[in-house]
Amino acid sequence: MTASSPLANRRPTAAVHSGAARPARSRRAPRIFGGLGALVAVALGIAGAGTGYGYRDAPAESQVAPAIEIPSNPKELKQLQSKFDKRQKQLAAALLKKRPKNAYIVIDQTQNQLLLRKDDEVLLNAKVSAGSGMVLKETGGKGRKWVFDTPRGEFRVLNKVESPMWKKPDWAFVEEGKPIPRNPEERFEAGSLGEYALYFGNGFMIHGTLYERFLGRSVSHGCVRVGRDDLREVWRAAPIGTPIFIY
Amino acid sequence: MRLRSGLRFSSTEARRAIAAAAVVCAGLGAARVMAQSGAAAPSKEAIAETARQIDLLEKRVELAQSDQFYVVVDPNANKLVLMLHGAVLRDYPIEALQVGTPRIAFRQRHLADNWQGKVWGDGALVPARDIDRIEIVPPDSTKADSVQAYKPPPLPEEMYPVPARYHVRYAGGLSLEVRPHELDAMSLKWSQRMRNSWGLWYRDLRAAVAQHPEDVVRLRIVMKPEHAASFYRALPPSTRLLVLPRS
Repeated sequence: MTASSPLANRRPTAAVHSGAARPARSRRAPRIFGGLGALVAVALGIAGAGTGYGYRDAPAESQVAPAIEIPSNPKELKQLQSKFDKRQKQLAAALLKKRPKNAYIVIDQTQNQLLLRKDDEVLLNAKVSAGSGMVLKETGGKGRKWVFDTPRGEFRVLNKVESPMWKKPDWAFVEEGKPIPRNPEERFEAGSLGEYALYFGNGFMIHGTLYERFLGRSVSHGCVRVGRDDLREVWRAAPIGTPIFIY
Repeated sequence: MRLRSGLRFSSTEARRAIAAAAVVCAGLGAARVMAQSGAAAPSKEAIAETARQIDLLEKRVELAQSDQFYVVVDPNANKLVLMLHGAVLRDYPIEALQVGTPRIAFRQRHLADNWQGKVWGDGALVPARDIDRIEIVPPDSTKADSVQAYKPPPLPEEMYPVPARYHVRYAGGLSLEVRPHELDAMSLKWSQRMRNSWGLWYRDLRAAVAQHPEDVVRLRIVMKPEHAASFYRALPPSTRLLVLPRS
């Protein structure tokens, strides 16, 4: 700085005297803001960690009183208890009546499994083939459409046949690209349903198969195909009237 | 008076014997009535508990009488049971059962009342099981090379991959959150586990802060991986749910 410089007579600031680049007041500001920002970030982080779903062990039954008027009179209490006991027995009997009394069949059509159950016991767990879910559309003709699903719900064994003959429906010919025969006798085919067939309505059956290598896969046209040994067990254990549950 | 055996009784003795027998019978009857009237009246709490049990039985009977599949979660037997018409179709052991509710910064939001012992309907899998329907193209019998080699469909495990966590969401705000046993998660790489964790946390955070959370109550069920997978693949659509109270 020279004597003629406009800054020559200017009074120097404290910052210049101390050698620092900025004044002390402005040095504190970024630190304060930085500290506040960190606090806010931590607070948000904690709040975020505590946001979502909080889980705890399932509690015991709620002690909310049922929507009935409970009398105070002992005689009325006894009468109410007696009435409740009777109702409880009626309901327990109704529930027991719905349960199958003997062995029943359960079919899991998605995972291709057949269970033979009695009460809480599983007597047989077999790999089967349920409906493929595929769609067949008839080109020309009546333009019909078939969806090869195994139906869901409760059914009953309606009929049992040994060495069943398969009466091929129209879709069996359409699927193969063959003309539908006019003579009904041309529809019958022996051997393809295995040793036994258990009919449960609307043309659906539990039957044997020539394609045991595909058991476990959804390959059928809606029926439930069972391997030979397992089919023999089912045949023995399931008389006509046996419930069949398919899900 | 003479009896057939030849024994003789005077009429006075006979009258005394009959009178004595009548007194004994009357005494027995009176004692019975006194015993009944003397029994303590049930407490209000006992009546309320019986009323709750009856309410639960009525719901079970109603479920058994409807034509819909339903799921019963029994925390006392540690089981999740799929049923229809009162028959057990499949039961899965539960390893842990917890209740989750939405919370913001550790503060619980509204908790659904009386979610135990209540029937929930319209259960839907989330994410849903994708079902691809393949259309069969019948071969052209006029062309020799139109018949193609049969390609068997994939196994259910291949067709329906199971997510690490899934829900069965019921109308009204309750969902079953099914998670496989944690040991199975350890088989993933740490980077994958981190991604899964952060993804789940973010989704839960968004769900919890929503004005109307989809899941007011979550029942987290921990099962073995094979059971969790089986339940996901097998669950029919639109099931109903009953969660039994823990006793």
